[in-house]
Amino acid sequence: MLVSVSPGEAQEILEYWSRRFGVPGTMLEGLRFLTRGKTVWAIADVAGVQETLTAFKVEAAGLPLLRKRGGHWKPTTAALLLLEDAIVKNVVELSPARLDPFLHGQVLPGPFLTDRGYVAVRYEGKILGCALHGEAGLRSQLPRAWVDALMSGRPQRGEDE
Amino acid sequence: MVPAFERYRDIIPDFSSFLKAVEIRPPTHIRANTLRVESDKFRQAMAEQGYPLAPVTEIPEAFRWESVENPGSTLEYFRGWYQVQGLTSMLPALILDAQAGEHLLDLCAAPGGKATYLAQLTRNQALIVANDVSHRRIGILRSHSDRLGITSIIVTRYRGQSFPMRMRFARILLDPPCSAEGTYRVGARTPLTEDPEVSRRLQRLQQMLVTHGLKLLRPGGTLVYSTCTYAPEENEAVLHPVVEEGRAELIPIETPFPYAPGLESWNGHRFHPSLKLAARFYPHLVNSWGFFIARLRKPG
Repeated sequence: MLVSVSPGEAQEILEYWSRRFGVPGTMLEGLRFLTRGKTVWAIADVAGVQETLTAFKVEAAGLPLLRKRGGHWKPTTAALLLLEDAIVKNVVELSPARLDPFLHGQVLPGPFLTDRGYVAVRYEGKILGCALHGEAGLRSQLPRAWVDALMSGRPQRGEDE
Repeated sequence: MVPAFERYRDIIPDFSSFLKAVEIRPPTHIRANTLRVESDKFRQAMAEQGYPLAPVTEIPEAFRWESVENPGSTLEYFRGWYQVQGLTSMLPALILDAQAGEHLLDLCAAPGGKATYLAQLTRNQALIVANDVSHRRIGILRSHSDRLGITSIIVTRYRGQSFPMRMRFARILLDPPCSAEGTYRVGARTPLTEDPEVSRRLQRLQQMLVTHGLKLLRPGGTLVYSTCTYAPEENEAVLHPVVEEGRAELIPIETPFPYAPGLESWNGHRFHPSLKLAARFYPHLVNSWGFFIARLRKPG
Protein backbone atom coordinates (compact mmCIF):
# COMPACT_ATOMS: atom_id res chain seq x y z
CA MET A 1 0.00 0.00 0.00
CA LEU A 2 1.24 3.46 -0.88
CA VAL A 3 1.51 5.77 2.11
CA SER A 4 2.52 9.39 2.50
CA VAL A 5 6.04 9.87 3.78
CA SER A 6 6.50 11.48 7.19
CA PRO A 7 7.37 15.21 7.37
CA GLY A 8 10.91 14.20 8.33
CA GLU A 9 11.24 11.91 5.31
CA ALA A 10 9.83 14.63 3.05
CA GLN A 11 12.50 16.99 4.32
CA GLU A 12 15.15 14.34 3.73
CA ILE A 13 13.96 13.94 0.13
CA LEU A 14 14.10 17.69 -0.51
CA GLU A 15 17.55 17.90 1.04
CA TYR A 16 18.78 15.03 -1.13
CA TRP A 17 17.77 16.78 -4.36
CA SER A 18 19.26 20.05 -3.19
CA ARG A 19 22.53 18.55 -1.94
CA ARG A 20 23.08 16.12 -4.81
CA PHE A 21 21.82 18.05 -7.84
CA GLY A 22 21.30 21.61 -6.62
CA VAL A 23 17.55 21.37 -7.18
CA PRO A 24 15.73 23.92 -4.98
CA GLY A 25 12.80 22.72 -2.93
CA THR A 26 10.49 25.04 -4.84
CA MET A 27 10.83 22.74 -7.86
CA LEU A 28 9.03 20.04 -5.90
CA GLU A 29 6.29 22.26 -4.52
CA GLY A 30 2.78 21.07 -5.25
CA LEU A 31 3.87 17.44 -5.10
CA ARG A 32 3.08 14.93 -2.39
CA PHE A 33 5.60 12.19 -1.65
CA LEU A 34 4.39 8.62 -1.26
CA THR A 35 6.32 5.46 -0.52
CA ARG A 36 5.93 1.74 -0.97
CA GLY A 37 8.77 -0.71 -0.58
CA LYS A 38 11.95 0.95 -1.79
CA THR A 39 10.34 3.53 -4.07
CA VAL A 40 9.33 7.12 -3.41
CA TRP A 41 6.69 8.56 -5.74
CA ALA A 42 5.71 12.16 -6.40
CA ILE A 43 2.07 12.88 -7.15
CA ALA A 44 0.32 16.16 -7.83
CA ASP A 45 -1.24 17.31 -4.57
CA VAL A 46 -4.72 17.77 -6.02
CA ALA A 47 -7.62 18.01 -3.57
CA GLY A 48 -8.91 14.52 -2.82
CA VAL A 49 -5.75 12.65 -3.71
CA GLN A 50 -5.48 10.98 -0.31
CA GLU A 51 -9.09 9.77 -0.43
CA THR A 52 -8.50 8.38 -3.92
CA LEU A 53 -5.35 6.57 -2.86
CA THR A 54 -7.13 4.89 0.03
CA ALA A 55 -10.26 4.06 -1.98
CA PHE A 56 -8.51 1.81 -4.48
CA LYS A 57 -5.80 -0.80 -4.77
CA VAL A 58 -3.20 1.34 -6.49
CA GLU A 59 -0.59 -0.04 -8.88
CA ALA A 60 1.29 3.24 -9.28
CA ALA A 61 0.76 6.88 -8.35
CA GLY A 62 2.37 9.83 -10.04
CA LEU A 63 6.01 9.57 -10.99
CA PRO A 64 8.70 7.40 -9.39
CA LEU A 65 11.17 9.86 -7.90
CA LEU A 66 13.73 7.86 -5.93
CA ARG A 67 14.59 4.29 -5.07
CA LYS A 68 16.48 3.11 -2.03
CA ARG A 69 19.63 1.17 -2.97
CA GLY A 70 21.73 -0.19 -0.15
CA GLY A 71 21.06 2.72 2.15
CA HIS A 72 21.48 5.33 -0.60
CA TRP A 73 18.98 7.16 -2.74
CA LYS A 74 18.98 6.44 -6.45
CA PRO A 75 17.22 9.06 -8.58
CA THR A 76 15.05 7.75 -11.40
CA THR A 77 15.62 8.85 -14.97
CA ALA A 78 11.99 10.00 -15.03
CA ALA A 79 12.68 12.32 -12.08
CA LEU A 80 15.89 13.70 -13.60
CA LEU A 81 13.97 14.50 -16.80
CA LEU A 82 11.19 16.11 -14.75
CA LEU A 83 13.62 18.31 -12.84
CA GLU A 84 15.97 18.89 -15.78
CA ASP A 85 15.89 22.67 -15.75
CA ALA A 86 16.97 22.86 -12.12
CA ILE A 87 19.81 20.32 -12.14
CA VAL A 88 23.14 22.12 -11.77
CA LYS A 89 25.39 19.67 -9.90
CA ASN A 90 26.78 16.21 -10.52
CA VAL A 91 26.11 16.27 -14.23
CA VAL A 92 28.24 14.44 -16.79
CA GLU A 93 28.13 15.79 -20.34
CA LEU A 94 28.43 12.98 -22.89
CA SER A 95 30.28 13.58 -26.13
CA PRO A 96 28.72 12.29 -29.38
CA ALA A 97 31.37 9.58 -29.59
CA ARG A 98 30.43 8.25 -26.15
CA LEU A 99 26.65 8.21 -26.54
CA ASP A 100 26.34 4.84 -28.28
CA PRO A 101 28.74 2.96 -25.98
CA PHE A 102 26.88 4.45 -23.01
CA LEU A 103 23.49 3.38 -24.37
CA HIS A 104 24.86 -0.10 -25.04
CA GLY A 105 25.79 -0.43 -21.39
CA GLN A 106 29.54 -0.08 -21.66
CA VAL A 107 31.37 1.41 -18.70
CA LEU A 108 32.88 4.71 -19.79
CA PRO A 109 36.30 5.32 -18.26
CA GLY A 110 36.83 8.59 -16.41
CA PRO A 111 37.90 10.86 -15.03
CA PHE A 112 34.64 12.71 -14.40
CA LEU A 113 34.40 15.91 -12.40
CA THR A 114 31.49 14.76 -10.29
CA ASP A 115 31.04 13.06 -6.96
CA ARG A 116 30.97 9.28 -6.92
CA GLY A 117 27.51 7.76 -6.89
CA TYR A 118 24.44 8.48 -8.94
CA VAL A 119 24.77 11.35 -11.39
CA ALA A 120 22.75 12.95 -14.16
CA VAL A 121 23.89 12.47 -17.74
CA ARG A 122 23.43 15.23 -20.26
CA TYR A 123 23.72 15.01 -24.02
CA GLU A 124 23.63 17.97 -26.40
CA GLY A 125 22.80 20.20 -23.46
CA LYS A 126 19.75 18.25 -22.33
CA ILE A 127 19.36 15.71 -19.57
CA LEU A 128 19.22 12.10 -20.72
CA GLY A 129 18.89 10.30 -17.40
CA CYS A 130 20.71 8.55 -14.60
CA ALA A 131 24.14 6.93 -14.47
CA LEU A 132 26.34 5.49 -11.76
CA HIS A 133 29.78 7.02 -11.35
CA GLY A 134 31.86 4.27 -9.79
CA GLU A 135 35.48 3.33 -9.50
CA ALA A 136 35.58 1.77 -12.97
CA GLY A 137 33.84 4.67 -14.65
CA LEU A 138 30.35 5.68 -15.69
CA ARG A 139 27.60 3.11 -16.21
CA SER A 140 24.12 3.73 -17.59
CA GLN A 141 21.15 3.42 -15.23
CA LEU A 142 18.65 4.33 -17.94
CA PRO A 143 15.44 2.26 -18.07
CA ARG A 144 16.14 -0.79 -20.20
CA ALA A 145 12.81 -0.66 -22.06
CA TRP A 146 13.34 2.97 -23.05
CA VAL A 147 16.84 2.26 -24.33
CA ASP A 148 15.63 -0.80 -26.22
CA ALA A 149 12.96 1.29 -27.96
CA LEU A 150 15.56 3.90 -28.85
CA MET A 151 18.14 1.41 -30.11
CA SER A 152 15.84 -0.96 -31.90
CA GLY A 153 14.37 1.78 -34.01
CA ARG A 154 10.88 0.82 -33.00
CA PRO A 155 8.40 2.42 -30.63
CA GLN A 156 7.37 0.46 -27.59
CA ARG A 157 4.55 -1.94 -28.26
CA GLY A 158 1.14 -0.58 -27.58
CA GLU A 159 1.38 2.86 -29.11
CA ASP A 160 -2.04 4.38 -29.43
CA GLU A 161 -3.88 3.98 -32.65
CA MET B 1 -11.88 -4.42 -51.18
CA VAL B 2 -11.88 -5.62 -47.59
CA PRO B 3 -15.03 -7.80 -47.40
CA ALA B 4 -15.75 -6.70 -43.82
CA PHE B 5 -16.43 -3.18 -45.05
CA GLU B 6 -19.02 -4.12 -47.69
CA ARG B 7 -21.78 -4.10 -45.10
CA TYR B 8 -21.12 -0.41 -44.48
CA ARG B 9 -21.79 0.61 -48.10
CA ASP B 10 -25.07 2.29 -47.18
CA ILE B 11 -23.93 4.10 -44.05
CA ILE B 12 -20.51 5.49 -44.94
CA PRO B 13 -20.84 8.63 -47.01
CA ASP B 14 -18.92 8.62 -50.32
CA PHE B 15 -18.18 4.92 -49.88
CA SER B 16 -15.85 4.68 -52.89
CA SER B 17 -13.60 7.40 -51.42
CA PHE B 18 -13.62 5.55 -48.12
CA LEU B 19 -12.47 2.36 -49.85
CA LYS B 20 -9.67 4.24 -51.57
CA ALA B 21 -8.60 5.85 -48.28
CA VAL B 22 -8.24 2.54 -46.44
CA GLU B 23 -5.91 1.34 -49.18
CA ILE B 24 -3.52 4.24 -48.51
CA ARG B 25 -0.96 4.15 -45.75
CA PRO B 26 -1.94 6.67 -43.07
CA PRO B 27 0.46 9.38 -41.92
CA THR B 28 2.13 9.18 -38.54
CA HIS B 29 0.85 11.72 -36.05
CA ILE B 30 2.54 12.76 -32.87
CA ARG B 31 1.68 15.24 -30.16
CA ALA B 32 4.19 17.48 -28.50
CA ASN B 33 4.28 17.02 -24.74
CA THR B 34 3.62 20.60 -23.72
CA LEU B 35 4.41 19.70 -20.12
CA ARG B 36 8.00 19.50 -21.37
CA VAL B 37 8.29 21.78 -24.37
CA GLU B 38 6.22 24.38 -26.19
CA SER B 39 4.84 23.26 -29.54
CA ASP B 40 6.76 25.82 -31.61
CA LYS B 41 10.04 25.10 -29.88
CA PHE B 42 9.42 21.39 -30.27
CA ARG B 43 8.84 21.65 -34.00
CA GLN B 44 11.99 23.72 -34.39
CA ALA B 45 14.06 21.29 -32.34
CA MET B 46 12.81 18.36 -34.38
CA ALA B 47 13.63 20.17 -37.61
CA GLU B 48 17.16 20.80 -36.36
CA GLN B 49 17.52 17.04 -35.84
CA GLY B 50 16.38 16.42 -39.42
CA TYR B 51 12.80 15.48 -38.58
CA PRO B 52 10.49 17.80 -40.53
CA LEU B 53 7.01 17.99 -39.03
CA ALA B 54 3.87 19.46 -40.55
CA PRO B 55 1.55 21.23 -38.13
CA VAL B 56 -2.05 20.13 -37.66
CA THR B 57 -3.79 23.48 -37.55
CA GLU B 58 -6.79 22.21 -35.59
CA ILE B 59 -4.68 20.92 -32.66
CA PRO B 60 -1.69 23.13 -31.79
CA GLU B 61 0.32 20.31 -30.18
CA ALA B 62 -0.34 17.79 -32.99
CA PHE B 63 2.01 17.24 -35.91
CA ARG B 64 2.10 15.03 -38.98
CA TRP B 65 5.35 13.21 -39.62
CA GLU B 66 5.66 11.94 -43.16
CA SER B 67 7.73 8.96 -44.19
CA VAL B 68 8.94 8.02 -40.75
CA GLU B 69 9.49 4.35 -40.05
CA ASN B 70 10.36 4.44 -36.37
CA PRO B 71 8.92 7.51 -34.66
CA GLY B 72 9.79 6.16 -31.23
CA SER B 73 13.51 5.82 -31.83
CA THR B 74 14.69 9.37 -31.25
CA LEU B 75 16.31 10.99 -28.26
CA GLU B 76 13.44 13.48 -28.20
CA TYR B 77 10.98 10.62 -27.75
CA PHE B 78 13.21 9.12 -25.05
CA ARG B 79 13.19 12.48 -23.25
CA GLY B 80 9.40 12.57 -23.32
CA TRP B 81 9.06 15.47 -25.71
CA TYR B 82 6.33 13.76 -27.69
CA GLN B 83 3.95 10.83 -27.87
CA VAL B 84 3.03 8.87 -30.98
CA GLN B 85 -0.74 8.99 -31.26
CA GLY B 86 -3.26 8.80 -34.07
CA LEU B 87 -4.93 12.11 -34.80
CA THR B 88 -8.45 10.83 -34.17
CA SER B 89 -7.20 9.07 -31.04
CA MET B 90 -6.42 12.51 -29.60
CA LEU B 91 -10.02 13.64 -29.95
CA PRO B 92 -11.71 11.80 -27.04
CA ALA B 93 -9.46 13.53 -24.49
CA LEU B 94 -10.10 16.91 -26.12
CA ILE B 95 -13.84 16.32 -26.26
CA LEU B 96 -13.95 15.31 -22.59
CA ASP B 97 -12.95 18.93 -21.85
CA ALA B 98 -11.48 18.10 -18.44
CA GLN B 99 -10.57 20.89 -16.03
CA ALA B 100 -7.84 21.30 -13.44
CA GLY B 101 -8.86 20.07 -10.00
CA GLU B 102 -11.39 17.54 -11.32
CA HIS B 103 -11.38 13.82 -10.62
CA LEU B 104 -11.28 11.87 -13.87
CA LEU B 105 -11.48 8.17 -14.69
CA ASP B 106 -10.13 6.48 -17.79
CA LEU B 107 -11.78 3.10 -17.38
CA CYS B 108 -9.88 1.15 -20.08
CA ALA B 109 -6.76 3.28 -20.14
CA ALA B 110 -3.84 1.20 -21.41
CA PRO B 111 -1.60 1.79 -23.28
CA GLY B 112 -2.19 5.31 -22.01
CA GLY B 113 -2.25 7.70 -24.96
CA LYS B 114 -5.55 9.26 -23.92
CA ALA B 115 -4.86 9.30 -20.17
CA THR B 116 -1.48 10.97 -20.62
CA TYR B 117 -3.06 13.49 -22.99
CA LEU B 118 -5.67 14.26 -20.31
CA ALA B 119 -2.82 14.89 -17.88
CA GLN B 120 -1.17 17.18 -20.40
CA LEU B 121 -4.37 19.10 -21.14
CA THR B 122 -4.99 19.66 -17.44
CA ARG B 123 -1.32 20.60 -16.82
CA ASN B 124 -0.93 17.79 -14.27
CA GLN B 125 -3.53 19.55 -12.12
CA ALA B 126 -6.43 17.10 -12.35
CA LEU B 127 -6.49 13.72 -10.66
CA ILE B 128 -6.71 10.95 -13.24
CA VAL B 129 -7.41 7.36 -12.31
CA ALA B 130 -6.12 5.31 -15.24
CA ASN B 131 -7.51 1.79 -14.99
CA ASP B 132 -6.94 -1.28 -17.08
CA VAL B 133 -7.30 -4.98 -16.48
CA SER B 134 -4.16 -6.03 -18.36
CA HIS B 135 -0.99 -6.18 -16.31
CA ARG B 136 1.19 -6.12 -19.44
CA ARG B 137 -0.57 -3.12 -20.94
CA ILE B 138 -0.47 -1.28 -17.61
CA GLY B 139 3.31 -1.67 -17.74
CA ILE B 140 3.33 0.16 -21.07
CA LEU B 141 1.05 2.87 -19.68
CA ARG B 142 3.34 3.42 -16.72
CA SER B 143 6.37 3.59 -18.96
CA HIS B 144 4.75 6.26 -21.14
CA SER B 145 3.52 8.18 -18.10
CA ASP B 146 6.98 8.23 -16.50
CA ARG B 147 8.70 9.20 -19.73
CA LEU B 148 6.26 12.05 -20.32
CA GLY B 149 6.68 13.41 -16.79
CA ILE B 150 3.09 12.81 -15.68
CA THR B 151 2.52 13.36 -11.96
CA SER B 152 -1.28 13.32 -11.88
CA ILE B 153 -2.13 9.73 -12.83
CA ILE B 154 -3.05 6.99 -10.38
CA VAL B 155 -2.92 3.56 -12.00
CA THR B 156 -5.34 0.80 -10.96
CA ARG B 157 -5.96 -2.69 -12.31
CA TYR B 158 -9.57 -3.74 -12.08
CA ARG B 159 -11.97 -5.24 -14.57
CA GLY B 160 -13.67 -2.14 -15.87
CA GLN B 161 -17.16 -3.55 -15.41
CA SER B 162 -16.50 -4.15 -11.71
CA PHE B 163 -14.42 -1.07 -10.89
CA PRO B 164 -15.11 -0.35 -7.18
CA MET B 165 -17.98 2.05 -6.54
CA ARG B 166 -16.13 3.94 -3.83
CA MET B 167 -16.22 7.40 -5.34
CA ARG B 168 -17.87 9.30 -8.19
CA PHE B 169 -15.97 11.04 -10.95
CA ALA B 170 -16.65 14.36 -12.64
CA ARG B 171 -15.71 13.00 -16.07
CA ILE B 172 -15.06 9.55 -17.45
CA LEU B 173 -13.38 8.45 -20.63
CA LEU B 174 -14.47 5.04 -21.85
CA ASP B 175 -12.57 3.59 -24.78
CA PRO B 176 -13.46 -0.09 -24.43
CA PRO B 177 -12.00 -3.09 -26.23
CA CYS B 178 -13.38 -3.11 -29.76
CA SER B 179 -12.94 -4.87 -33.09
CA ALA B 180 -10.57 -2.08 -34.17
CA GLU B 181 -11.75 -1.99 -37.77
CA GLY B 182 -10.85 1.68 -37.90
CA THR B 183 -7.17 0.84 -37.63
CA TYR B 184 -7.28 -1.04 -40.90
CA ARG B 185 -5.25 1.02 -43.35
CA VAL B 186 -2.67 -0.30 -45.74
CA GLY B 187 0.65 -0.75 -43.99
CA ALA B 188 -1.09 -1.00 -40.66
CA ARG B 189 -2.63 -3.87 -38.80
CA THR B 190 -5.48 -5.83 -40.29
CA PRO B 191 -8.92 -6.00 -38.72
CA LEU B 192 -9.18 -8.46 -35.90
CA THR B 193 -12.00 -10.20 -37.67
CA GLU B 194 -14.43 -9.98 -40.51
CA ASP B 195 -17.09 -11.78 -38.50
CA PRO B 196 -19.90 -9.49 -37.24
CA GLU B 197 -20.56 -12.03 -34.49
CA VAL B 198 -17.35 -10.84 -32.81
CA SER B 199 -18.76 -7.31 -32.73
CA ARG B 200 -21.91 -8.65 -31.11
CA ARG B 201 -19.87 -10.44 -28.44
CA LEU B 202 -17.83 -7.31 -27.79
CA GLN B 203 -21.10 -5.39 -27.57
CA ARG B 204 -22.05 -7.25 -24.40
CA LEU B 205 -18.79 -6.23 -22.72
CA GLN B 206 -19.12 -2.66 -23.98
CA GLN B 207 -22.68 -2.42 -22.63
CA MET B 208 -21.54 -3.64 -19.23
CA LEU B 209 -18.71 -1.08 -19.27
CA VAL B 210 -20.90 1.86 -20.22
CA THR B 211 -23.56 0.86 -17.69
CA HIS B 212 -20.97 0.65 -14.94
CA GLY B 213 -19.19 3.79 -16.13
CA LEU B 214 -22.38 5.80 -15.78
CA LYS B 215 -22.82 4.52 -12.22
CA LEU B 216 -19.33 5.81 -11.45
CA LEU B 217 -20.18 9.24 -12.84
CA ARG B 218 -21.43 12.12 -10.73
CA PRO B 219 -24.90 13.45 -11.59
CA GLY B 220 -24.40 16.05 -14.28
CA GLY B 221 -21.02 14.55 -15.18
CA THR B 222 -19.72 13.79 -18.66
CA LEU B 223 -18.74 10.44 -20.13
CA VAL B 224 -17.03 10.25 -23.51
CA TYR B 225 -17.45 6.90 -25.24
CA SER B 226 -15.09 6.12 -28.08
CA THR B 227 -14.07 3.17 -30.22
CA CYS B 228 -11.86 2.71 -33.25
CA THR B 229 -14.43 0.65 -35.11
CA TYR B 230 -17.17 1.36 -37.63
CA ALA B 231 -19.40 -1.46 -36.36
CA PRO B 232 -22.78 -0.03 -35.26
CA GLU B 233 -23.12 -3.06 -32.96
CA GLU B 234 -20.24 -1.61 -30.90
CA ASN B 235 -21.27 2.01 -31.15
CA GLU B 236 -24.86 3.21 -31.54
CA ALA B 237 -26.29 -0.16 -30.45
CA VAL B 238 -24.29 0.04 -27.21
CA LEU B 239 -25.51 3.52 -26.38
CA HIS B 240 -29.12 3.14 -27.56
CA PRO B 241 -30.51 1.48 -24.39
CA VAL B 242 -28.61 3.91 -22.17
CA VAL B 243 -30.25 6.89 -23.86
CA GLU B 244 -33.61 5.20 -24.37
CA GLU B 245 -33.87 4.43 -20.65
CA GLY B 246 -32.85 7.97 -19.65
CA ARG B 247 -29.62 6.93 -17.94
CA ALA B 248 -27.74 9.52 -20.02
CA GLU B 249 -28.33 12.00 -22.80
CA LEU B 250 -26.22 12.66 -25.85
CA ILE B 251 -24.76 16.13 -26.06
CA PRO B 252 -23.22 17.71 -29.15
CA ILE B 253 -19.55 17.31 -29.91
CA GLU B 254 -17.40 20.27 -30.76
CA THR B 255 -14.50 19.45 -33.04
CA PRO B 256 -13.01 21.25 -36.02
CA PHE B 257 -12.63 17.98 -37.94
CA PRO B 258 -15.26 16.77 -40.43
CA TYR B 259 -17.33 13.78 -39.42
CA ALA B 260 -20.54 11.96 -40.24
CA PRO B 261 -23.33 11.92 -37.67
CA GLY B 262 -24.15 8.84 -35.64
CA LEU B 263 -26.68 6.43 -37.10
CA GLU B 264 -30.39 6.52 -36.36
CA SER B 265 -30.95 3.06 -37.78
CA TRP B 266 -29.01 0.01 -38.91
CA ASN B 267 -30.08 -3.31 -40.38
CA GLY B 268 -33.70 -2.75 -39.45
CA HIS B 269 -32.92 -1.58 -35.89
CA ARG B 270 -33.91 1.94 -34.96
CA PHE B 271 -31.72 3.87 -32.54
CA HIS B 272 -32.66 6.79 -30.34
CA PRO B 273 -32.74 9.87 -32.60
CA SER B 274 -30.27 11.75 -30.40
CA LEU B 275 -27.56 9.28 -31.44
CA LYS B 276 -27.09 11.42 -34.51
CA LEU B 277 -25.20 13.74 -32.14
CA ALA B 278 -22.41 11.16 -31.99
CA ALA B 279 -19.55 11.49 -34.45
CA ARG B 280 -18.23 8.98 -36.97
CA PHE B 281 -14.75 9.81 -38.22
CA TYR B 282 -13.75 8.20 -41.50
CA PRO B 283 -10.27 8.12 -43.06
CA HIS B 284 -11.40 9.83 -46.27
CA LEU B 285 -12.67 12.76 -44.18
CA VAL B 286 -9.82 12.88 -41.63
CA ASN B 287 -6.62 11.17 -42.74
CA SER B 288 -6.17 9.02 -39.65
CA TRP B 289 -7.85 6.02 -38.04
CA GLY B 290 -11.59 5.48 -38.18
CA PHE B 291 -13.22 6.45 -34.91
CA PHE B 292 -16.60 6.75 -33.21
CA ILE B 293 -17.06 9.28 -30.41
CA ALA B 294 -20.12 10.10 -28.34
CA ARG B 295 -20.41 12.53 -25.48
CA LEU B 296 -22.95 11.68 -22.80
CA ARG B 297 -24.22 13.58 -19.82
CA LYS B 298 -25.67 11.90 -16.76
CA PRO B 299 -28.88 13.60 -15.61
CA GLY B 300 -28.32 15.90 -12.66
